[in-house]
Amino acid sequence: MVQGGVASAKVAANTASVSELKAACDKGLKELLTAQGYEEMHTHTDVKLVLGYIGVVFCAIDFAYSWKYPFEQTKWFSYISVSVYALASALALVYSYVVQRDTFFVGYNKAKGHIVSAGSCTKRNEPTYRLTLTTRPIRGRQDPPVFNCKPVEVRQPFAEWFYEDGDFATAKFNGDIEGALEALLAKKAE
Amino acid sequence: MDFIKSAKKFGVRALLLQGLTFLSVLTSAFMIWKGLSLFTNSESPVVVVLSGSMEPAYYRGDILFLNNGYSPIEIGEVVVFKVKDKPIPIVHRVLKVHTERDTGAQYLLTKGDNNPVDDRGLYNSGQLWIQRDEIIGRVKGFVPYAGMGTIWMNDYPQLKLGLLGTLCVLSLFSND
Repeated sequence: MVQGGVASAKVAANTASVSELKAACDKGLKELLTAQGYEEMHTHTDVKLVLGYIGVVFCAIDFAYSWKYPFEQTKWFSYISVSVYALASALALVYSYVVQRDTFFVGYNKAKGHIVSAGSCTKRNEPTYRLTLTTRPIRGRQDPPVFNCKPVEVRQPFAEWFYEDGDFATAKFNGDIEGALEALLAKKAE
Repeated sequence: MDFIKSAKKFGVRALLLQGLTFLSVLTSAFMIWKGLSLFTNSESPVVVVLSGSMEPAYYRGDILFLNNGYSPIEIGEVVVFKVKDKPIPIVHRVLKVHTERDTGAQYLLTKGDNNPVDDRGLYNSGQLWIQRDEIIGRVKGFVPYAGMGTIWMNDYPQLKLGLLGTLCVLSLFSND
């Protein structure tokens, strides 16, 4: 049984809070995948950072310009910066809802030539962890083995991985998820 | 020193993300204000009444919504204006209007409803009329008492800093 290679602090969650339980499971999954050799890809975060800071830069310039000079003189630049800010914010929102959705970890395994993407969600007042694992070959690799291109779903109640006092049962969690990972990466005999 | 330690632990990306969350409070507030300003064509689309010179129409602490449309100012309209080189905006009613026939330029005289005399004492020395470009906007709507907070924050500037600081600190603790 593979235990996380990282010496992390004991993970404990408030068993009454679904969001805390989900956060703990997400963290456990990240550590498991990282230990299995998946390096984290930060594309989603980077896109949102770039869009966000473009908006911030235009806002800062506009603030300085309109502070120094009267309104009528700086109006033209304010039109531009408000539009850019609105566009960047809208794009970031759309990206978050359409492209990223529930994904919280994307990792690439150079040795094996594929990328695993993990997304999770919970329904309100329902203590069940819904994990979706997908995989795709790294672009440009010549001979990616054919993997299961359908997403693999893990749907289990949090109670299976948490003790009553909130401690996280890392070993059991890792075992369950590894089974799902194997199913995901199993070669498709087509 | 603690900051640098935690910066190394979390990495540059996490720091940038936190910075963005904090900055987005400030930038979105500023952008909403700017957007409203552009929509109304007014440098200050929302103002607070600071004096009682327009009673009983507007009292100290009322919030006024302005619109600076391009149509000519008419007698009887309540306008907010800022005399050149004087920083305080004044909200009074327009008493007289002269319009230049060739250029359409307007010369206005204003007076507060509750004042005994017109505003010539408030204008710059030697100035008898205010120009159209000294007008920030016409009053289009108002909310009574809603601006008392601003008046308190102006009288006690620590309140203003405290409020902004609280907002930023709260945003840092949100679980985004």
